Amino acid sequence: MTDGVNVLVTKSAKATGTLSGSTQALRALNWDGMEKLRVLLCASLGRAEIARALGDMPDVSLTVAPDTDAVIGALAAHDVLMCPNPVYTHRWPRRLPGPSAA
Amino acid sequence: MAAALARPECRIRWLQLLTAGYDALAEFGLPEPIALTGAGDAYAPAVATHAVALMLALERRLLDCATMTAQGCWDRAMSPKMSIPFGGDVVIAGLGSIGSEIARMVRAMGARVVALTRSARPSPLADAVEPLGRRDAVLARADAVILALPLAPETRHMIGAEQFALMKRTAVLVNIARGALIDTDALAAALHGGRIAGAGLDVTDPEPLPAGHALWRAPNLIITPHVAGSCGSLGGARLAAVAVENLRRFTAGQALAHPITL
Repeated sequence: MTDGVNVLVTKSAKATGTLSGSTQALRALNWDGMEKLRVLLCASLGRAEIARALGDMPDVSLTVAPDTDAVIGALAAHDVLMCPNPVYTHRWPRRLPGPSAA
Repeated sequence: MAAALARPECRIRWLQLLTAGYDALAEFGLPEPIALTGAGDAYAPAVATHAVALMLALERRLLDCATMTAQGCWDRAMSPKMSIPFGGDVVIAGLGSIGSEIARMVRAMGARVVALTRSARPSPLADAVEPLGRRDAVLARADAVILALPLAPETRHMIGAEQFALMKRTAVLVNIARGALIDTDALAAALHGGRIAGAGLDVTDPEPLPAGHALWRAPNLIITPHVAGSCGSLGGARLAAVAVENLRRFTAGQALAHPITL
């Protein structure tokens, strides 16, 4: 992240009345093209305030994706994805070997 | 997701949870190279306020008053059952950031704070701190019990039929942590049987509570739909401060704040 941080957020589920774009994207994507992604910020409350605060940080570039397709299309260019909780409700096996062991 | 995170090309190295709980991760794990951090004390003022509000609503019989208000009825029949925290034992299970804030609030009301924690480390916020192994003895003396513990194998169903049988009939129970800390069927039976005076739940097991569940018909029960952490833009600002500070640390290669060890 030496050349600045690119943060991707979506419009909130509250605003759209549907599952947020990032929730759907995380369910749909196959992780291809996400090599740049380093950080997941999982927030169920306060995403608008968090996004504003991140956007005010020096060297941070914020992209707001309006829907699932936009999230998937933009992921490859971003370091950080702010996403809602379902990202960690998937059943990860305990003691899953990490990339270094794969 | 699990397979994706284990792929060699996956470079995710940090997961920041901006939630109060992390039981799903504690249960299912996370690939080792990924650092996990939490929300720190961002939720403490809101959740503690909610917990105390539920306790006071139950002790002051505000449910009865709300029902009478809706009926246009002036009836003081419930007044002998009204109580206050002052002079009583308020048991707070869990003395993390949220439990500590609850302790500070109820102590200001004149209650004796008895904390029930895994470590039993003394705290200036509590008049007594007892280990979880002393749960039953502590519960038997309690006038109010507030659950603020993480869900873990040793805390799942920590309040069940045996514990309700030990508690005072005048005691109230509040849960702002995780629904599965309480045996739901036992709670429904205790309320329907008048075994305790009332319960306030911001969390249930299962969640959401299904339509037709016995708890919906239980007397002296207040259910709020897992909203204890909500407090408008103030809450968002507190979470944003955590996210911003940790992102700053991450980009600077510094140690992250509020690490969670699974």
